[in-house]
Amino acid sequence: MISAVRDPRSAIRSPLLAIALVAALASTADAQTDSVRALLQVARRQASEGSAAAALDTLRKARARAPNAEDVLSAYAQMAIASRQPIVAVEVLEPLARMCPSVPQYQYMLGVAYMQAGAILASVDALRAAEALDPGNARVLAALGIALNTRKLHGEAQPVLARSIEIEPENVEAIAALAEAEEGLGDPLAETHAMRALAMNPAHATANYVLGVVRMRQQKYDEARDALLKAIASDQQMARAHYQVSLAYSRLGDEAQARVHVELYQQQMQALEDAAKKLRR
Amino acid sequence: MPQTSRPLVLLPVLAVLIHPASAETRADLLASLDQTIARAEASLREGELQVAESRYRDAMRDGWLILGAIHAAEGRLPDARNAFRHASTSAVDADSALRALALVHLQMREPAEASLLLTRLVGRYPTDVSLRQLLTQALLAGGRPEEAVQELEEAHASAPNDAELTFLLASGYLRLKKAGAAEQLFAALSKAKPLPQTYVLIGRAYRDAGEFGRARAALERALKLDPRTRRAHYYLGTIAVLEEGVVRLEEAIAEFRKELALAPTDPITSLRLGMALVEAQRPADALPHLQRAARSASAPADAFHYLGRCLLSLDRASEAVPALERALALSSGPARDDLRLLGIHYQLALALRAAGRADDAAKQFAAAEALSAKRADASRERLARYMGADAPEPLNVPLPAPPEVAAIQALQPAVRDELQQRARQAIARAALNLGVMHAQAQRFARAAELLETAATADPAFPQVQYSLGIAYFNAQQYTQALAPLERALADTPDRADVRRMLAVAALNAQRFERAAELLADDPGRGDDPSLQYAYGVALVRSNQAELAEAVFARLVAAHAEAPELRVVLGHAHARQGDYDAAVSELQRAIALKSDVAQAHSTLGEIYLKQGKLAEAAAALRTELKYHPEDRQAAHALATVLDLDGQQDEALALLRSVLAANPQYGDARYLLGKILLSRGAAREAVGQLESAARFSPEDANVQYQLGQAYEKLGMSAQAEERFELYRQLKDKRRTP
Repeated sequence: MISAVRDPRSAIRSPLLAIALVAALASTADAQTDSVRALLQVARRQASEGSAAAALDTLRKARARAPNAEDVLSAYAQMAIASRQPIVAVEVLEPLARMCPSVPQYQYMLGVAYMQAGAILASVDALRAAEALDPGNARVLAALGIALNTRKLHGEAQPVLARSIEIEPENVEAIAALAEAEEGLGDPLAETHAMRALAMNPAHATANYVLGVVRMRQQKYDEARDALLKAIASDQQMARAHYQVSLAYSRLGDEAQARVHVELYQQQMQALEDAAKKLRR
Repeated sequence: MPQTSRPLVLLPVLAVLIHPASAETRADLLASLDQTIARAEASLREGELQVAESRYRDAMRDGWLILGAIHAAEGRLPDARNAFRHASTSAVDADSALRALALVHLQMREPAEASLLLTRLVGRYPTDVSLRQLLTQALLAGGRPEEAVQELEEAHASAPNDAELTFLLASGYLRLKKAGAAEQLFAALSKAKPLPQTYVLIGRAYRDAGEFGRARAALERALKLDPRTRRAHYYLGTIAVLEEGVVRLEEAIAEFRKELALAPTDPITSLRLGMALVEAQRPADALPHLQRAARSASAPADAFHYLGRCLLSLDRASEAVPALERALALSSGPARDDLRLLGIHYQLALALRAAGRADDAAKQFAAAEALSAKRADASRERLARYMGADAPEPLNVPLPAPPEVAAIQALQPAVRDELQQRARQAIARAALNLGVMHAQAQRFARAAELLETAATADPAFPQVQYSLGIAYFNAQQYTQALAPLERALADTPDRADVRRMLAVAALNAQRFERAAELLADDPGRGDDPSLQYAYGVALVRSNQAELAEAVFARLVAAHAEAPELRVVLGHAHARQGDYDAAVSELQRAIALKSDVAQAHSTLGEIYLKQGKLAEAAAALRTELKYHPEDRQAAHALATVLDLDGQQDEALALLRSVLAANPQYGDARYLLGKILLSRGAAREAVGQLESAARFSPEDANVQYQLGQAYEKLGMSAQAEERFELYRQLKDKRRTP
């Protein structure tokens, strides 16, 4: 098979490339602080040390110097998502996806950021775009399934999540989301998949939530409450878990706790609405 | 961060254009572009690749904005749309480009696209009244008046003292026939700004809503406050025509004359007066007014249409013809109006016939007849339409050209051409360097995208075709590599490296004759066994077996004990179907060097062809042990595993191949095929559609995709693919 003439890249003789190549190979050890290259390195180090806020701040400086640079925008968005600052991430990812429409990763990140911000419709659109660019990517399929679940489109979510698991059988997020879809469809497999996810990660928020809802249906309110509280412990922003646990408390006769969680549910919903409003702006 | 109060400003490079067009303007623009490029290149030299990239992207955006403005100024709306689209995807700050794009969409009667863009922009700049106005126009054009008014209500609620918004909202209420609500707002407006001009605006809004009594009252109030108020008489004249057509022409003429007395050189009033006089059968009186209107730089089609009619009535047919032809040219854009066109064709036909050009006249009569079949004309309707047209509705004002477009329109054609050329060069330079940076980072498909942009902007820019060819070549998109490499070779016929790369691309794209032709004179072929092999294969596949034999014999004589050569010979034998000889050569190569590249994989492929699946799998696994990055070997192994019923492993292998290279079309195809065979038609469709994008000429891909569609009950799409499959098969059969 012939695939290339030795190393065809050696045939690139552009003087501009030569300049770039020499520059790229230059030492970066003594980079000054206003160097974007150096700032990226610093941010990487800060992120690896767990200082997400510092990393984001450093990347903000890099962005001010190179506002259109793909590496900078991508790193900034990743850090914003990791720090659960979806509005900040979306602000960067929208133009990034517009500038680089063939890169599935940016559509995926945009979908995740939208989802974090509660803009589920936009999230589904972005994730579908990512899937079209990179069909069969397990991570994208899992995120798409989760977004569809959030829109209560469990019938659409279920096959998407099943495909994701087929590709990546140990993806706990996809398994938990599949359980949620099945629960929404009234499929008894929901409990099995929730238990499987919990075997992999006992604190998993979605899996505990699904188990809680299943136990509610079974009228095992004590167990339901415990599972739902575990879900909340893992993800305090899980509005639907607050709502369900308020129902469990109510069934158990603890109206005070029920009220607390109803209020927390309403606060979460308001926060999501506020985020969506910010996005619309 | 989203901006809530900052107005949408033009980028500096285009802000320059707002000033009167001049040589200085052009020089400023070019200097700005050159400076951005120079700064990018300085960053490149400093090793600040991200800063360089960012600046190149700025330059691309600014260059596309200039090009878009030039296209728009010259009436090439599809080109303008394309340029503004490029501008909007070049850099993060794309608001100017998006706004310009929305305007072009509106001009091209694509209100849905315009609304989408403008909604986002209004979200970012909620207090920008001009954006709100454009959005309401887009919503109205898309038949969504309620949403338009809702949009204005929201804006008004956030800025209740904004006079422009108040006026727009009141006009919107009129559109929805809510005259009471409108009246309240107009009352508040006139109280806040008790100026004659306010009443003129209100009068115009009422006029456009067909509330002629209220309109007249407002305009008369304006004249009472100041008898010299501009436009009041003008609108009163148009109201006379709009209300009762030709019946009150004299009243209209009198009002227009009063307006002209206030502004004697006003082209639009001259035009309206001329039109009214033509309709009143007074062409001699009309002529000077229409001539003045037609001399205006922005004279609309109506000016030439009525000038033509007027000249025709005065028996000056040969002068009428060019005027009517100009009217026709100006009316043939995307926003064409059949009724107007019909009138122009008809008048032009009459003028041509009167000028003795019967054949040309016949064509115009035919064109008029074709349009008249669509609808009948009526002079009242026609005149009313004209009178209403450029005395605009507040919610349907003529689309403003972006300032940059207006400024570019005013440039001399030669200056515009130079500006265009320089903008193209700047885009090409920036995109070329961005493409090279991606290539350097081994992202060849991304590099090709940017280099295509460079080639689109300026196909003759130095190095563009060559770099594009290399990028496609390295992305293994050999068919796409051919055209740019051919162009690069045509530009530099002495470049042996270009010739060689083109030859190999041709070989991989199965253009064997061209490959053989190119390699025949390659001076490096004698020292390079892989090139010799390529030449030999090209000769064999282009039916030049005798020459091929000689080439292979020379290969053996020169490099008898080189393991790589043995691999090459193994390939050659395998290509000719002599598998025994091929296996022998490949085993010899392995004996000389156990990890020699492609020896085990070629053996594996031979075993596959011989149906020896276990041996094939073993050989391919060995190749992958030594060369795990060899994706073709991985793909071949997946093929073997699929045939051997080990689909789970095949799927995992293909997914890992695709994770490393999502654009590997053959792997997508095989993955889709396997998924389809396992009943996962929906997922198969995704893979096969993707494969079809990479290999549109591959009949098998089209066939499998058709099968997948069929399984999903998508019969029409399935039939389309089967038809494509048949066409591709037929094409292959055709010698």
